[in-house]
Amino acid sequence: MDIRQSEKRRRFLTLGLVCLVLAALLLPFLPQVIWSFSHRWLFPSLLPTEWGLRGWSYVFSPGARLGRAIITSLTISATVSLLSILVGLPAGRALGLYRFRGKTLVQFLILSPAIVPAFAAAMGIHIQFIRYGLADTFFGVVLVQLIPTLPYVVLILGGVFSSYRIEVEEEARTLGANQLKVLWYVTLPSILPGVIVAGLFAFMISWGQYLLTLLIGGGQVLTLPILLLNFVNSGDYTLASVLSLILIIPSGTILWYTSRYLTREGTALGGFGKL
Amino acid sequence: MTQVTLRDLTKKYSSQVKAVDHLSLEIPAGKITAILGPSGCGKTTLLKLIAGLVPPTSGDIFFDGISQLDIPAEKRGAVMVFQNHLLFPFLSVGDNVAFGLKMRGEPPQLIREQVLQILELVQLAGYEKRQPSQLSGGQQQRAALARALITQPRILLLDEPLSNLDANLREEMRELIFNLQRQQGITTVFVTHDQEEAVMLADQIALVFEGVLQQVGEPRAFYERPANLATARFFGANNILPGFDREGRIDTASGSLQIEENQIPPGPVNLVIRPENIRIVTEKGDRNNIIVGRVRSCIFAGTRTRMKITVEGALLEVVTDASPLRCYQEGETILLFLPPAKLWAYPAKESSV
Ligand SMILES: Nc1ncnc2c1ncn2[C@@H]1O[C@H](COP(=O)(O)OP(=O)(O)OP(=O)(O)O)[C@@H](O)[C@H]1O
Ligand SMILES: [Mg+2]
Repeated sequence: MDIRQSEKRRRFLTLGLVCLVLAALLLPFLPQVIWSFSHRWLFPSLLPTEWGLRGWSYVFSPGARLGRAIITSLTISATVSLLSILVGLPAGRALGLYRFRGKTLVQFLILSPAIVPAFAAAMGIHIQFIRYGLADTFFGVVLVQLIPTLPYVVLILGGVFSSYRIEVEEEARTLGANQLKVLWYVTLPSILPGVIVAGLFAFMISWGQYLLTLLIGGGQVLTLPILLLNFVNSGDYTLASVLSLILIIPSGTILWYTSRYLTREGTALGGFGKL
Repeated sequence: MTQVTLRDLTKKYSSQVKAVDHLSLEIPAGKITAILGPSGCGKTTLLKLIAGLVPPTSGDIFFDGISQLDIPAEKRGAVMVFQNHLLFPFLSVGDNVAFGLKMRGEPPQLIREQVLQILELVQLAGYEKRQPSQLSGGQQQRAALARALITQPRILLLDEPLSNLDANLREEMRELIFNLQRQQGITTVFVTHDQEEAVMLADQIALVFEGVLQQVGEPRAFYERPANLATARFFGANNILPGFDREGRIDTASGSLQIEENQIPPGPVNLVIRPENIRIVTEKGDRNNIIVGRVRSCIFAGTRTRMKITVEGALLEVVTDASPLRCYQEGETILLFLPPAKLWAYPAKESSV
């Protein structure tokens, strides 16, 4: 009887804890949810004085800039994560697999954009971009967003490669696979979980970028965060809340997906090992 | 069946690290050759050179007389099975085994048939759907072997195929390798640091110390006539009597000894004899090569008796059949006969490893 009672208590405690964590995660979004359904909400009242669907109907109204902004954001972030992976793969491989002189310095240099605010560097870059006609363009924004994403991607992929056995490739060579086939049939499948995680990280970082996009895009490249800030500045909290809720959809999905992926045994978690 | 010739092969990883040092070796077609040597002597490097995974610094490699230096690893047909049976963790056992045929672009139907066939051969029938992590160490090893064999390689390169297995599995695997090799007649090179393993499995042994070839020959030769002191000691001939060669007789601290073949120039030498070649005698008679010793220890070891005996100038180990049934007392005086045919002389300046 005692045992059953303590079991019950333990289950109760676990449940309570889960609820607490969920609350801590989700509560900050509650005001946004309420805002998004409000029509009028004046100061002293605790809840909106008038409820309405103006915010959400805007989302689905044709001709709204929102649709375009979502597409722009998606393409920019997808391109950024793809490019980050393409650049990060050889860099991560070199860092993870090989020992060479000055490796610590290289590691530090790769990490430095994550420490120094990217915005500081972006001012200088902006001037160069204007010279080369990259300012105010889609591609210019993509390029500048590589600054915050690359350190993380290289770090994650470096971790993946540091637990990678290069003999697997050699074995495949002797079995008749040329270098291209080794890359496709051996290297990529081996590191795929890590690549996915790195790509999702890059996507998330890029998805939330505001300042860099604003500076280099000059308001011409309209992403979701830029649109959101427009609404905030104009004091339209209803629309701003709707947008912020849309903005967190990919992050939430990715978080959920990676946490599932990471907790599976022996997959990408190893990617966060030491370099 | 492919014959492999290594000619004056050298591999330097850097100016200091010479993994393989001017090594020339004939690897006969259709036979098993063991590359034997202590850890770090360049065995794996040698296999990688043959496979084409690392380029030699100098020298040449021939398969059936044709230089392989310009032929990339994937075209050599020399399949290497690594030390830590590295199955591809992202493929099932069946797909692992199929890998070589798939790379060659064989039709799926044929691949499937051959996979099932070869898995049967290595006693893994029914395991094709499993993941590598669901196999035991021995099973992984056999799967890796199957993955190599299915391509019918010209040369099979096995890096320490038995070292990760425990004793009884090791024996099983050794028999499997031996039988498969005899069945298929593939030229096989395997690497080991275990002389017993080499002796039991190989038709020919190549002993390598620090990248330098010491001796090549059938296993027997390493017991009957080691090429140098280091080789003799590696194979357990650990009784060394320093002496001086005086044209036919060798003066040692224990007296003057005769040896049967003496091709070395006069001067300081080391006499070497295997523990089991020393005979205990009861009386001197008029024979040569009898020396006096004092028993230091005598251990009854089942079918054999192991003794440590101090003689003038050396401590000798003697292994005899346990049949005399008399364990000698410590301090007892004993007469030892060192047969001239079993005494080997090596120049003393030769370093011992
Ligand atoms: N890629 C490499 N770069 C530099 N040095 C290397 C490399 N691979 C091996 N070596 C060095 O070359 C020597 C021979 O190495 P190798 O792996 O061939 O030895 P081994 O006989 O296979 O040893 P073990 O029995 O421990 O596997 C060693 O001193 C090793 O440190
Ligand atoms: Mg080795």
